Amino acid sequence: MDFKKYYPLIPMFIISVILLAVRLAAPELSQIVSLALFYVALGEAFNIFTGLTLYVCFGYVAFVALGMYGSGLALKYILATSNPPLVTTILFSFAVAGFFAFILALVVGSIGLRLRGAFFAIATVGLSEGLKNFIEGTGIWGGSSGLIIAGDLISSYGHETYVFVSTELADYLMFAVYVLSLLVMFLITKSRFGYGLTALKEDEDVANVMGVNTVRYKLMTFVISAALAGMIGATKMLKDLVIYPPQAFAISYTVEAIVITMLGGLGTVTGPVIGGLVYSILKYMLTVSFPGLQLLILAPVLIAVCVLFPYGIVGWVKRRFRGTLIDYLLV
Amino acid sequence: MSEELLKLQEISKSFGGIRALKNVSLTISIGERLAIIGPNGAGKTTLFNVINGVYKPDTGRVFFANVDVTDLPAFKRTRMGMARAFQIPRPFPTMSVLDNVMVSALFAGKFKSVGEARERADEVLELVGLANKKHELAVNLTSPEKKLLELARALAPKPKLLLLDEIVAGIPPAEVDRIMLLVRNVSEKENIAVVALVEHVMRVLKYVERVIFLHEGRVLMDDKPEKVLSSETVKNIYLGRIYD
Repeated sequence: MDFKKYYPLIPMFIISVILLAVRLAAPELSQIVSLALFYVALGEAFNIFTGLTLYVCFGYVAFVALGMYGSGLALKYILATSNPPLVTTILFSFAVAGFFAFILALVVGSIGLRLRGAFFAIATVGLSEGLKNFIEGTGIWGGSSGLIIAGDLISSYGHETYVFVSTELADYLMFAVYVLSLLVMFLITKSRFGYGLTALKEDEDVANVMGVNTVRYKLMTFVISAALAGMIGATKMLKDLVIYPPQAFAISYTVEAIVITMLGGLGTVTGPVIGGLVYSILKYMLTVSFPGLQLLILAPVLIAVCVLFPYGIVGWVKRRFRGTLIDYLLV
Repeated sequence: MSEELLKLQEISKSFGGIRALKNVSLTISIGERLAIIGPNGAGKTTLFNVINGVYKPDTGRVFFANVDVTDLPAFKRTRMGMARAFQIPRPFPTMSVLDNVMVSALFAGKFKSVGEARERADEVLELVGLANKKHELAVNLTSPEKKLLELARALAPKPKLLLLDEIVAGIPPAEVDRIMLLVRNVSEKENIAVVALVEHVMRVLKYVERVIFLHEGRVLMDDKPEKVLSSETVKNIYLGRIYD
């Protein structure tokens, strides 16, 4: 057994432990830590598709939103019909959230991923807007008045558990989803599947001639990435306890996911972690010191970073220290 | 009689009004090494494209290892043991040399685990003489090195048939001998049939057992190298009188 290839997990493990330790030890920082956890997880899930294939889905937020709806509906359903323990409820709502996003990605991907590069991106622009308008227009799932789960949680589990779920548990679940995405991404890059994807990313035609089933490979990463985004949505639902279509389908999440992966290093395993941390801290600090202006300041900062570090922070470090231990450990 | 590996039966292929291949039939045996020669536009590359599945012939059938592969796509033929080194190398640019060869071993060959594929890639890179460059990005290689990488990628899956499209074009003469010697050695060791497309036959003559002369889409001669080169027709059409 070759354990050496798992050594890059050590730095990731250290970063994750620090994140978790800060959350546990400093409750006053919980707001910024949960923001960071959300962005890190979102960036990593997004990276599994876009970083590995260089295909961009501009409707990516739809998977997060569908995860929110999926978990909310599942939770309402299970609490209305029975009174299961909290663990069962949460596991069930996560499974449904992942499944909703998975199905949407399967449908969109099987058709859309036959298109190449930019054409796929264009085809997906309407995805999130279309779904939002569909929910608002038809009035399903609460329509434009939203889906609220706070009442269901309180009546089934009491006020104390309800507070615990949204202030504590949601953060740890987000941490779990982040670790899961990180592991999935890492294992993909080390596998035969990962080599096929890298080849596909470099030259789709040559990869195909070499025996890589390119359409299937793109679809596989797309559904994996979407299912993880769905679970991020499920966690966000537990944190927010309410979902309204305009907020859930906000295009800013897709843009932020792109920014985070670009900033950290597209296609690298640790990139979205670094990118997510930098982005969330920057955003938080700017919101505190220049309320209302944060997006205006953030945009040029991010443009500068993307121009100066086109391979992202991790990509830059890896190139700078090519062939050394740092390059080897930082994947 | 040695066993046949590839059989082309009455292959014709036209592009618009141009008949690139006219009733081409030929058989290649396991482990055989041959060169296909002919002037520009003789149909050499079209013939290769029909063999490995880039083009479907208008008429005729292609058999590989006793299977009719006429309707199979390129990647399936690759998996059956056909390998092709392209005239213009097209490596995955920002992957390392090692990773480039590994992809080929993983997907075109029978190496299903990353570890096995890495071993095979190391072996092949040692063989073609690129072992010291294996961690370089493919984009940083020189043109002759890219040709060697193309060869390494073709050899990695352990093919039964190696199609070399102008492998020695643009390579310094001293290197040509090294590459051709290497191809002959691998072919002998692993029993790989080699078909080399060449415009300048003299450069590869001593490494092949058979030469096919293609002219205007037809096989004009198919014989031992010395016989083909001494034929009057070949001299007139292709070599010119200076070889007299």
